[in-house]
This record gives sequence, C-alpha cells and structure tokens, in this order.
Amino acid sequence: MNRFVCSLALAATIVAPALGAATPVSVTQAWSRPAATTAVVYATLHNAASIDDRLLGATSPAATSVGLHQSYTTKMSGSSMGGMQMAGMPMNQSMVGMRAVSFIDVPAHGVVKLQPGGYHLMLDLRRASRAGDTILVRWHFAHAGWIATKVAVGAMQ
Amino acid sequence: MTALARLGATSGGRRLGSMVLVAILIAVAAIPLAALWRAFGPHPPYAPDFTLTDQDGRPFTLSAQRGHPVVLFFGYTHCPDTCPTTLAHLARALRSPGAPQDARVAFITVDPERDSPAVLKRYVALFDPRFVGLTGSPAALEPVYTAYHTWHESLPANKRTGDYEVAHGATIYFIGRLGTVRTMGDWSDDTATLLSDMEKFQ
Repeated sequence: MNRFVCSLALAATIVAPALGAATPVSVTQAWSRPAATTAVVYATLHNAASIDDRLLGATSPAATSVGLHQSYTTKMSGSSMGGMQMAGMPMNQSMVGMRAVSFIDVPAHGVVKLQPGGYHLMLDLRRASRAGDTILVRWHFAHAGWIATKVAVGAMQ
Repeated sequence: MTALARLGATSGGRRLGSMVLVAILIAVAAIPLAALWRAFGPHPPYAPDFTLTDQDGRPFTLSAQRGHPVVLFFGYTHCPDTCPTTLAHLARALRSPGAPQDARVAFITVDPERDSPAVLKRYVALFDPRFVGLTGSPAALEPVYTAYHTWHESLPANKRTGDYEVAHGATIYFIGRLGTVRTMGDWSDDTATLLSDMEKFQ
C-alpha cells in the first residue's frame, strides 16, 4: 500500500511537469475595448487535449467581478409583430439580450471563440479603461486549471 | 397707334403674348400652390418627435435637429458587448470619407435608472464627439420606446452583485435632414453597411 502511494507520488512528480510544459488549453487573441464602467473581453480558447475542458470562470485585479456571458439575438419579422411598420417600411426588428452562463465548454481538439454577439467576459471595472491599457485576466478551466493572460485594450472597435 | 404697334398686334404676336402671360400666371400661382402642397399634401412620414435630456443635462428635441441627419439607437451603458459593438461601427462609419460629417448619433438609454446624463457623458465620449446620450424619466422615455417599437425588459438581477441586464430592440434608425426615417439597420450591421445607410442621407 505504502509502495503504491510512493509510486503514485513519483508518477505525479514526473507527469505533472510534463503536462505543464505542454499546456493543453490556451487562450489567444484576447482583446478588450475602452470602457467607462463595464468592459468586455473577447478571446479564442483552444483545447489541444483529447478530453473536453470547460471554462468555469475568470478573475481580474482590474475588476470587482468578472462574469461569463452570452449575448443572444432574436429576430422578429414585421408580420409576426402585427405588420409593424415604420415610415411605411415593414420592420424586421431583432431583440438583443444577454445571459450569464455558468460555464463555456471547450471540446477536445476544439476551438471556441468569445466574440461580439456571442460569448464574452463581462468585467465590472474598478476604473475606466483606455486604449493601450493591459488588463490581467486569470481564466479558470476545469481540467487545465488557471491560465493567466494579458488582455490588450485596443482602439474602439 | 404706330405702324410698329399695329404690326405687333398681328395674330402671331397675340399668341406669343398670351403664352408669356400664362407662363407668368403659372409661375405666380406655383408659389402659394407649393406652400399649400407642403401644408396639405401627403406628408412624408416624419420620425416620431420627442424631447429627452442629453448628456449635458440639456433638452434634446428630435425635430429641432432638422437639417442634420440623425442616427437613433437604443441601448444602455452597462451593456458590454452588443451596444459598444454597434456604436463603435457607427463611429467608424461616421469617420469614413463619404459619411455626412454633420450627422449626429443619438443613443437613447433603455436603462434610465443607471444611465444618468453624467454616466452617459462618460460613455458617449468613448466613441465620437458627435454622439449624444439621451435619457429622461420613465414617463418621458416610454412614449419614445413605443413610437420606435423598441421593446425592452430588465432581466432578473444577479443575486450577488445586484447587477441586471436589459434585453432590448436593436433597430438603428436613419433619419434624414428633412426629419423622415430614410432606412433602418440592425445592431449587427458592419461598418460598410452602416456607411451605405448613412449615404442615403445625402
């Protein structure tokens, strides 16, 4: 039994640095735009591992809270809105909303983009961000653990 | 009567004279007719008028902007994703060559509880000096939402932070110099699409 635990510990000391060297999950192309109170972070999440991973959350020293969010758009045609018109033109109004999500799945060998109109991080900033700033974000994955990235605040786009 | 005048009074001269007279009558009559047409003829569909409060606390009346194109969009400053995406595209379109340089972009809040003029001032300044942030009392805002078919709904607040999101209509209205709605866009339109909509102002 004792020998088994020892060999397990030995295996862990050999395997863990190897895993760390080839981090299976990475976060690239992280960017944000200038914001007064509520900032966004977009990025591309890569999972090179052969098992599914899951983004559970994120933290940042620049924010009082960081949420995982997903925007959604609902298209409504003029006919479904009682033939709604504006200036004689039929309206095909879309509605946008946003929901907090508890996690974002990153499938094995998969890529998930956090981008405008979809998944994103929402940061309640401690102070306004400006173009040229860098925001430190720590991403928490179920398997890969914590990954720290520097997020560039770009020009308004 | 001189011989010359007698010559001018031939039938050909009379025809010319009456044509000139008719032309003058038409020209004179056209002035009040144009005014009558403007007053009683078919009205262009003016964009619904409103008065709200801008980011400096001053009243902003839509009909007072006639002569300038106005872009209307609804949203709120705590919206991190779609609202700034749209406003950033609008700002970029507005700075493009070919865009009407005297256009104004009016961002009307669907979240007056948090979006005071001071909050809006910091927010619209991030995009372009020609952006106007508009707020008001719910009593002032509700008829505007109704007139522009802008459905909106505050979603349940986050229990921990107390923050809430607002789902809302995402139509962009392009109002021309004469105060009529020229065309409509959607929050997801890219800069090129918004620019081509703005060119319809001209």
